[in-house]
Formats: sequence, C-alpha cells, structure tokens
Amino acid sequence: MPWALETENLTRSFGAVKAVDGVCLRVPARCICGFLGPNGSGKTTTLRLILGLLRPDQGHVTVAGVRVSRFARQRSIYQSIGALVESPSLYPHLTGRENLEVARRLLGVNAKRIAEVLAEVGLADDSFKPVRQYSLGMRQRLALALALLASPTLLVLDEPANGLDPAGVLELRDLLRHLVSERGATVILSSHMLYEVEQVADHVAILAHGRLLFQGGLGELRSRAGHALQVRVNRPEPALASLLASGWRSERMDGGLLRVHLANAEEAALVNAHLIAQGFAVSRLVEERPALEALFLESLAGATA
Amino acid sequence: MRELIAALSAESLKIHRTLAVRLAVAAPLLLVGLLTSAGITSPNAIFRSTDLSAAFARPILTLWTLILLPMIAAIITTLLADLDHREHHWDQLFALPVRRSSIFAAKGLIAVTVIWLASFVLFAAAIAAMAGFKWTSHRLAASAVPVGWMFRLLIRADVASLLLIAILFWCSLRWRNFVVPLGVGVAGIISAIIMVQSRSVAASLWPWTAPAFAANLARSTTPLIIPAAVGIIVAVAACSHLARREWR
Repeated sequence: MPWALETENLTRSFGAVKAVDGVCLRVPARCICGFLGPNGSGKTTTLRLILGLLRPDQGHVTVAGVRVSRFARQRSIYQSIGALVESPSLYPHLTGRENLEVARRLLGVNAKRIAEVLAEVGLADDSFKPVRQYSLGMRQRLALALALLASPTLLVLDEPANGLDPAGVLELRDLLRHLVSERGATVILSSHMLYEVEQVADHVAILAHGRLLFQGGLGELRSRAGHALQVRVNRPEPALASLLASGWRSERMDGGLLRVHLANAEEAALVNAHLIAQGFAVSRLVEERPALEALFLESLAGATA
Repeated sequence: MRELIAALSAESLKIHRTLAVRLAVAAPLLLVGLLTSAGITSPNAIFRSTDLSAAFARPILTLWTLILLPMIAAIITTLLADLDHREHHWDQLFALPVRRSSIFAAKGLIAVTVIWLASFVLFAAAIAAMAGFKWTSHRLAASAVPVGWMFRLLIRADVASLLLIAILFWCSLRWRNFVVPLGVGVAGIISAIIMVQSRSVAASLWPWTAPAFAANLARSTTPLIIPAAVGIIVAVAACSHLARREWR
C-alpha cells in the first residue's frame, strides 16, 4: 500500500517525560486521517516531528516513500507539505494578501496561487485588510490558505476548525473532501471536535500518553466496538425474553426499542427472521453506529486499564 | 543563494509599515532637528566655530555613534525579532522548504540594512541642515558643507557597528523576552560612555565604542577592521546557532 506518510518508532522526550513513544504511524495516500488524542497525548509533538520542527530521539519519518533526513531540509519533501500547527501565526501589520506573499516568496510558487487560495478559503474580498482587523475565523481561513499555497500533497492541520462559524466548518469540510477527491491530497487532521473528524475522516489514529493506541479505518474502529441492532417490535417484553432465550444478548431501550448485540453485522438478518418466526411484527431494524466520541473514550479507557 | 534571495525578499516585505522602519527614519531626524533648532535659537552657543564640520557635523556624529546608533540598533533588532516572536512564527517559517540558516541570514541582513538606513537618513538630514545654515548665516557662508567628510565617517561608523549589531541580533532572536536585548543594549551604551574616556586600543575595540572611535580616528583602521571582521564572525555563529537550536 502506498503510504503518504510513515513514521517508524518515532520517539521524543522532554527531560524525563516521553512525549512521543515509539509511534509507528501509517497514513494511506488520498485519505483524511483523523489524528485524535486527549490534551498532552503527544499529538502536536508528533506533528512537529513530522514537519521537522523537532528532531526525534529515535526513529524517522518517511513522506511519500522518501525518508526525511535529520540534517537537511529537503526541498522536494517540504514543498509538498502544507501545515497549520496550533494557532494561526500571521503578521498583523500586513494585509492578508501580503501575508500570503511572504510565504509565496519563500516557497517560490506562482503569484497566481495567491488569488486562487484566497478564493478557496473565501477571503478574496477581505484580502486587502490588515490582518489585525480580521476575526478569529478569518485568521483561521488565512492560515489555511497559507497551508494550501504550494498545492501540497500532504496537508497537516492542527485544529483547523478553531474559531470557524458553522458555515465555515461546513466549507472546511467540503474543501478537505475536494482536496482529497480532486487533487489526490492526503490530510492529517488533528482535532478535539470528534464530530467534525467523524464527518470527514476515513482513517483514524488515536494517541494517548505518547503511544499509538489505534490506527486504521473508521469502520475497523467501529467493528472493534462490536455490532448492535436497534429493533422496534409490537410486543417488546416478550420479544426481549425470546431473544434472550435464543442466546442473543439484548436489553430494553427507551421508546419501546430493544438493543440486540451481535457477533457480526450479518447476524441482523437472523434476528429479523427469528422475531418474525416467533410472530412479532418488526417495524424498525437499524444497525447502531457508535459515535467516534464513544469509540475514542473506549480506546482511552482500554489504554488506562 | 536562491534561497537567501527568496528569504531576503520575504523579510523585506515583512518590515513594511513596521515601527522599526519608522524609527530608523524618525530617530536621526529628531537628532538633526534638535541640533538645528538649537542652532537657530542659540547660534552663538552652537556655532562657536565658523567651520560647519566642527560646529555642527562633529557633535551630531559623536551623539550618533556613541548613543543613538547603539540605542536604535538595540530597539530595531528587538522590534524586528518581535515580528516573529510575537505569534511564534517559527513553526510556520521552519515548516517551509527553506534552510533555517538562509532565513536567519536574511533577517540579519535586513536588520543591518534598516540600521544603516537610519545612518543614511542622518547623513541626508545633516547635510540639508548644514546647507540651510550656510545659505542663511553670513558667519557660515565661507564654510563648505562637509559632504564627503561626513559620508566617509558615517560609513566607517556603520562598518564598525557590525559587531554590536551582530550581538544584539543574536540576543534578540535567542531570547523571546525583549528585556534581554534591550538590557544588553542599554548596558552596552553605559559601558561605552565610561570606556570612551580612555582612548586605549582596547576601548576602541569594545563593540559599543567602536563606531565612535571609527568615526573619530579617521586614519586608524583598527577600530574599523577588527569590529567589522569579528562582527561578521559573530553574525555567522549566530545564524548557525539559531538554525540548529530547537524552537519550542
């Protein structure tokens, strides 16, 4: 599988504290990878190691198959990475356009890109205002424009939705999907807004205490949590007794619903057939999809245990 | 070299509309303005000599090289460093595909340029003021405006100031707290005022007195070459250190 980003045994300590401990991250190409973890889990340190802002004590980073040197700033690698790390850092005395121009001169990209990225993030009309007059959301958009300036194939975004209004969050979501589907980019999205990550990510990595607890597809994470089915029947109590008698772990839910825990998703058909055979009228049969938040907390609880 | 040019181009854009550039223009104008107004209001006190270079240019050069140049060097290097310290721009800058040494070299060159711009403004303002006095005062009509003389001495002072600029540049980027470079700058000026009394070779090599000595001892190359050479070495060491250290 072609990995857009690979880290091998990435380790970094600050004094006695191991901030990142042997992280082996594999991010597939052309996907949005949600990078999750509680505060102090080592997310930002990992991102800073990936971007070459910190040197690892051990391990290395490989971007699109090219191993990153600890000593040289390889232009070919970093030209293809766009980054927004922590809060947007902008020059408040310069206009939005001038802020982009500073980065453009360093990147050596075509001047046309400034107008393009300003349009992409919806700042074209405000680009001649000094950044000190920008709202938090506008600053966030401009920081995103900076990350997009070199048309990166790998985009590392740390809390990009901070300060964005609901419309801005929706636009960000669409923009990220567009970057992946149309331009073939890979996005690493670190965020505390798990709902937002859930909306866009197809790959997830969970970090706690500097260690990688899980990485894989969102579906894989869900399947780890087990399968459950919500069932509405005409006579819930006898139906519950019948399911329990047949060996299905089941429970009563609010609103006359039953929850049936399954070994796999295909078992749903068997539950349905069983209830109909027993003379129950099934009016609703829905597979329960655990929210990312629940899966995330479950992973953390597992790590703590 | 291409990276350095790109970094220089980016850094030159960053200083647009900054306090550092405004200060580089305003500070020398203020000095020349004060001496000019003193010359207008009390001509007998200021123009004891009928020679413009001795009566007007020399006091300006002394005040500039001993106090104002080191002072604005400290403030300008601090203000320029603050552009990137303020919102911790380092992550943004270092994530770009440009060598850190090129970024710091460009910052150093821009700092020197802005400080030398102040010297040029001082030169232009002083020449304009002296031309005005020569034109309006009968006593000074015979005296030539010392354009070449003043230009040569200011260039010497600027070259000799490389060491103090390099030290202040290093301090201002190494420490985020502006108190450190400003403290070093003020301590340097106080030490210079004490050391300038002794006209020893050692005093002429002290970073904060070297510009004054270079401007005063017009024929001596010691206070010119040694601070300039050491200044370049310190600046290279500063860029190397700043490029290697971790910015958290």
